[in-house]
Amino acid sequence: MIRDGHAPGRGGPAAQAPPGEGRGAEPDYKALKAGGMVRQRQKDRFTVRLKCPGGRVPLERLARIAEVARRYGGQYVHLSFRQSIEIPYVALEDLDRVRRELAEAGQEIATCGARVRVPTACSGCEYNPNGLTDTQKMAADVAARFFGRGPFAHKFKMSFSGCPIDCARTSENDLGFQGAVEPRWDESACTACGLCAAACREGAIELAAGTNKPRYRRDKCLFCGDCIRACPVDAWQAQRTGWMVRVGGKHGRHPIVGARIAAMLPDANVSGLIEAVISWYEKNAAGKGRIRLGALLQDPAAWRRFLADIGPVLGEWAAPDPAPPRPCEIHF
Amino acid sequence: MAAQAARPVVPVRTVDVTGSRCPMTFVRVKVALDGLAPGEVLELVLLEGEQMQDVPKNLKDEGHRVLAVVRKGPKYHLLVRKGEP
Repeated sequence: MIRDGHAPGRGGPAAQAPPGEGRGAEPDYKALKAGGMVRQRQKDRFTVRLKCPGGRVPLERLARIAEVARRYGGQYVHLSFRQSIEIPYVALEDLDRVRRELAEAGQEIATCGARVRVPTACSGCEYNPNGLTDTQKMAADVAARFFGRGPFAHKFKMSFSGCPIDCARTSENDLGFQGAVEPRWDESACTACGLCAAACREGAIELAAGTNKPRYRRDKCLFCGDCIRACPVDAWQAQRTGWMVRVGGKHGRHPIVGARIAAMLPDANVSGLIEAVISWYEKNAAGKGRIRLGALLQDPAAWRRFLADIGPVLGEWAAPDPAPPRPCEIHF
Repeated sequence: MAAQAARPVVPVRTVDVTGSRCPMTFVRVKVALDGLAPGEVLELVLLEGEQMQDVPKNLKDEGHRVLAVVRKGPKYHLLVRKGEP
């Protein structure tokens, strides 16, 4: 086990600065943490967590991060589970320099604590052939609008996946958005080749005996768009593209699987929904201690109230009568 | 059963990849198509399941065109016209 990853005999200019300045005055750890500086096991060493929405880091920033880490950090950077680059082993007295030098390259620090965290996202539709929705654009937009909001009763996490493979684990976030496409079949264009039925992984397309024409089973469809992508004559097309929305998910000591509350929500409605859910959480978690949204929604009365309050924001995209987020405990 | 091309299409060659597994399936399909001129036709034999779930949509992504499909038990014979590069 590595107890000290700090490069021996190295450190920033401040490594030679007089230690323990202002001795006796305890640093404001909470303020430090809100700014993405996480106190380490090692005295006066901090892990600096960087804001990397959707895990995308432009190369010029990456170069600066490497430079700053070499000067002030340890012998490596760490990739967090939520796509942040973290620079461990930064000395307390160097934190301000680190923040300043990263900011010169446009690199911001993330947040910790009971706030809206940096949204995570898959690589998205730009170069991933499975991508249906622009997760990177949404993660950047949502980070710009909501990042750091709080403090609330507890943290608030969001993620964006571009297709039903759901690499961004939308069911494990307070709010998760998973891209989906609803297919439409144009009978006049169809040549009855049967490729769509063979390409569908869900058995959602059956071929009629005799005509070999597809019959769409909406109840089995995952809205992945494979039929659209496979059809050689574009008889399958996108009817609607949008987001499956999940709420109340979390991991941690008491994991909860998020509940789907909407289908095919358009990009333009995402911010309004986030705003409504955050406000609801802020209001309804007040006075209940350190509680995540999904835990709060375990109370049947709270779930009913949540659906009643958020329903109008979801409008026609609301899922009919959804079940609450489902705990996934380890007790047995 | 199959989509009929306007006139009989004669494939330049037939490649059966039913014995291959990902990623070799893709490599073999790519190599087979690389050996054709744009507009020429390949007969490709694929297995139901993973191969039929993955290969046709990739052919379309890459600009090739499936002209006809004939199913023979678990095997699918596809006539694929190579697209412009």
